[in-house]
Amino acid sequence: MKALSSMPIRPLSWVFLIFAVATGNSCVGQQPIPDLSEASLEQLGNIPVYGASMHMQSSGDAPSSVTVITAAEIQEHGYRTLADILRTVRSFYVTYDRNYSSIGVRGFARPGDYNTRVLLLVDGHRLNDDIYDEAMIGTEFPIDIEMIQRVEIIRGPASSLYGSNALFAVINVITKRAHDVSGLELSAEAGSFNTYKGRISYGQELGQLQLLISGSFYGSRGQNRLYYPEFDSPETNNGIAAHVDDDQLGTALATVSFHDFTLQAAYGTREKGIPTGSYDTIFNNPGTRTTDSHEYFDARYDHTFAGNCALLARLFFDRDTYQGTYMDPSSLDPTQVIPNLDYAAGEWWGTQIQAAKTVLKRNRIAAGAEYRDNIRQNQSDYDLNPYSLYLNDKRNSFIGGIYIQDEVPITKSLAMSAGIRYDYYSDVAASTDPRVALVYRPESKTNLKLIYGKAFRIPNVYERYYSVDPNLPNPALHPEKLESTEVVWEQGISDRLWISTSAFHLTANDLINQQPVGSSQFIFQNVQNVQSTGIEFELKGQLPHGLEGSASYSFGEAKDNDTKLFLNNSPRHLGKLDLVQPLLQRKLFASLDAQYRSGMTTFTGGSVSSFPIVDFDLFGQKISRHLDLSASVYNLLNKKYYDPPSTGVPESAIQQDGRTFRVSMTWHLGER
Amino acid sequence: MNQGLKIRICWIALGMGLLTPLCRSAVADAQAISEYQVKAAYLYSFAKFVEWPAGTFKNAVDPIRLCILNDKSFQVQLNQIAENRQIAGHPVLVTLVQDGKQSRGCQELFISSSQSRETMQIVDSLRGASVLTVGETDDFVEQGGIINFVVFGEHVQFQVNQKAATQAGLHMSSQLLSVAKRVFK
Repeated sequence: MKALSSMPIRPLSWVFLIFAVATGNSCVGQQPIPDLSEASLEQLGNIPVYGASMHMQSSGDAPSSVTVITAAEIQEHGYRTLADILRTVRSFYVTYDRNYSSIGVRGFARPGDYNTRVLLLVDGHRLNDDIYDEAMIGTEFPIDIEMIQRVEIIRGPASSLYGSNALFAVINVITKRAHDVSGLELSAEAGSFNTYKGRISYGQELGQLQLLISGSFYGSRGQNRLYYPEFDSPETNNGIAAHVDDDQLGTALATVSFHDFTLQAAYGTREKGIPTGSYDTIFNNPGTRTTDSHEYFDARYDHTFAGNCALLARLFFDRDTYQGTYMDPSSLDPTQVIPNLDYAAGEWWGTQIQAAKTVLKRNRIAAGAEYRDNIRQNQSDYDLNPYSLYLNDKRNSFIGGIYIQDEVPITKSLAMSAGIRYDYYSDVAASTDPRVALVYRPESKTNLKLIYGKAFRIPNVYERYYSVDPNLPNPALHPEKLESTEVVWEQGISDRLWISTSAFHLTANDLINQQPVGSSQFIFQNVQNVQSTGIEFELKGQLPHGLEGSASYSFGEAKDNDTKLFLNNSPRHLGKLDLVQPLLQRKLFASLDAQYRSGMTTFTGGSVSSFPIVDFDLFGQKISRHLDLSASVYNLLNKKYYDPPSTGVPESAIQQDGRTFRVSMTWHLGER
Repeated sequence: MNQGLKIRICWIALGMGLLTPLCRSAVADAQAISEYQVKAAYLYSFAKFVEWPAGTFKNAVDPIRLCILNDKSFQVQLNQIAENRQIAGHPVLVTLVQDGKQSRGCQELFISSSQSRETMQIVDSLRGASVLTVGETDDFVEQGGIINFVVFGEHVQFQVNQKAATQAGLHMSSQLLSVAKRVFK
C-alpha cells in the first residue's frame, strides 16, 4: 500500500467538530400526542408533522435547475430507456454508438467518455462503478423503465453534496413502491427488429410491510443490415454488417420496506453485439460483443423525528462486471480470428449517513458522511487462442467524504443555500468543493436563483491503469475540476403556464481526455481547459381540460481555451417539444415528442448534420378495468440521422434507426 | 496496523459516531405524527362542520361515506381515525373508490397527489352531486376542488373553495371557514 501522510486526518477533525455542533443537538420535539380524532381543527393545524413533502422540495424552492419526469409521462410518451427520457430533457443530448449511449450536457460530451461526468443514482444509491465511473443509461441501465416512479434531473455541479462525478448533472431515478403496483402486473411488448419484452411485477402491502418484486427480460435482434461505407469492399461484406446488432437483457428488482427500513436488491445484465467493427476487430463478426452486469444491495433507514429532524443511514454493496469479446484479426494472417477477452470486475461496499434538522424556524442544516471501500477494481485482457496475457491489473482503494449544507432564510423572500464537501481518497489528492445558491422569491410565481458551484472528478482506474495496446496507462492523472455560475429565472405567467430561463457559464480545467501518442497509441491526459457559455428557455404549460406539454430551446458554445476552437461533440442549438393531448375523458393520451439537434463536428475531424426527430405515441389507460395499451412510432418522419462516433469506433459517423414501431400492453390484476 | 487501515477505521468510526448523538431520542418520540395522520384527522373532522343537503341520508343511521380515490395506504390511516365512530348519529364508513362514477355516493372524497391527474375528470363527473372533494395539490382549488391541504413548514393547513361548495349544495360552518388558511369566494 502506498505511503500516506497523516496530514489529511487533521483538517477532518475540525470539520467533524462543526458537524457535531451543527447537528448534534437532540431532535426532541416532544409534545403530548393528542387523540387525533378528537382534536379540533385549530389543534390539527398546529401539530408539527413529518412527511414526504418535507424531503421533497418543490422544484421552485430547490437551489438548482431541476427537471422531473414522472411514470405517467414515461407511459404517455412511450419512453423505452433512460436514454429516451434524457434526450427529451432541456440542454441534454444523447448519442449512441450501437453499444453504449452517451450523455451530453450543456455542450459537453467528450468522445470515449462513459458518462463519467454525470452522477447516476437509483433511490439515492450511486450507480457509477468503481472502474470506469460509468453511468449506464441505455438498455444497459439495470432498472426496468416501467419500475421507475420518477426521474429527477438536477443540472449543474453538485460535488458539494455528492462528491466525484457530479459535474454537469445528477440524475436520480426513484423506483416504484408496492402501492404503485398493488397486486400482480404483467406486461408484454413487441417492436421493430424482432424486439420483445416481458415483465412480471408484484406489489403487496401488509400493514407496515411493503413488498415489491419485479423481473423483466428483453431481446432484440437489432437491424438485420447496417451499412458502413468505411468497410465497403468485397473482403468486408461490402460494408454490410448483417445480424450483428442484437441486444438482450434481464433485470430484477426487489424492494421491501418495513416502517422506516428499506431493503433493496437490484440486478441487471445486458449483452450487445457490436456491428461497427470497433477496436480493430474483424468487421461483421457476430462474436464481437460486450456484456455488462450490475447488481447491488442497499439497506436504508430513513426517519423523520418530531421537530423535523430527518435521519438517513445507508449500507450498500455493489458489483459491476464487464466482459468484452473482440474478434481480432491475426497480425500474421488477417483472415485468421484471434478472440480477445477484456474484463473488468468492480466490487465496492460503503456506508452513508445524513442528518438534517430545521433550527431557528426556517434554517435547515444537513450534514453527512460517506465511506466507500472499492474492494475490487480489477481489469484484465488476454487472447484466448493462442493464449497471450496483456493485462492483469488488480487494485483497491477507498473514499471518505464529509459534507454540510445550510439553507438560511435571509429575508422573507430571499434564501441562501451554502454547502461544502471534503473528499479524501486513498489513491489521489483530496478535494474540497463548495456551492452557494441564492433563491429569491418576491412572489409565489417568481423564482430567481443565482448559483455558484465547484465540482470535480477523480481519474478512474480505467483511465490510469488500462494498458492494452493501443492504450497507454497514466497513473499520474489528477482530478479534473469544474466551476460553474448560473442564473435561473422561473416565472409563472398564469396558474398553468411557466417560463424558465437559465444562463450559465462554466469552465472545466484539466479535463481528462484521450490523446494520440505517435501515430497509433492513445493515453489519457489532463489536457483540456474548456469553457461553455449558454442560455436556455423552457415553456411548460397546460390548457384547462386538455393539452399539456413543454418546449425548450438551448443555445451554447463550448470552446477549448488553449486552441480557441469550438469543441467537437458539441451542438450549439438544441430544441425539444413534448405535447400530450388527453382524449376520451383521460382514457386515451396522444403524445408527440420532437427533438432538434444542430450539427456538430466529431473528434475524427468530420461532422454530423442537424436533424429533427419526431416520436408519436398513443397510450390507452384502463382500456378495460385491468388493461393499459400503448402504441408508439419512433422517428415518425423516417429521418436519416447520424451520431458522432466514440473513440475506438472506426466509422466517421454512426447512422441511427429510421422509423420504428412498438406496441405494449400491461395487465394490472390487482386493485387499482 | 498500517496507515491505510487506520484511515479506513477512522472513516467508519466517524460515520458510526454520527449516529449516536444525532436524534438520540429515536425511541422516545417514535410516536411522531405523520402528515397523513393529520390529513386523515382533518377529513374526519370536516364532516362535523359540513351540512349536506336534505335527503342525502336515507335515515338517521345511514352511514356517512368518507371515500378515498385509489390510495390503499391512506385508507388504513383514515380507518385508524374514523373506524367505529359516528357523526351526528351517522356511522362513519371509509371506502376506497376507483373513479368519479363510484364517488357519487360519497359524502367526502379525498384525491391524493398521486391521483391528482384525475382531478378534473372527477370534479366534472361529480357535477350535481353533493360530494366534498378534498385534495392536496397546488391547483386543486382552481380545478374545481372544494378543500385543499397545504403544508406550511411543519404544519398541515387547508384552503376552502366556498363557491364550489355552494354549487355542490354543501353548507360549511363559519367555524370551518374561520380556521381555513384561505377562502375562495
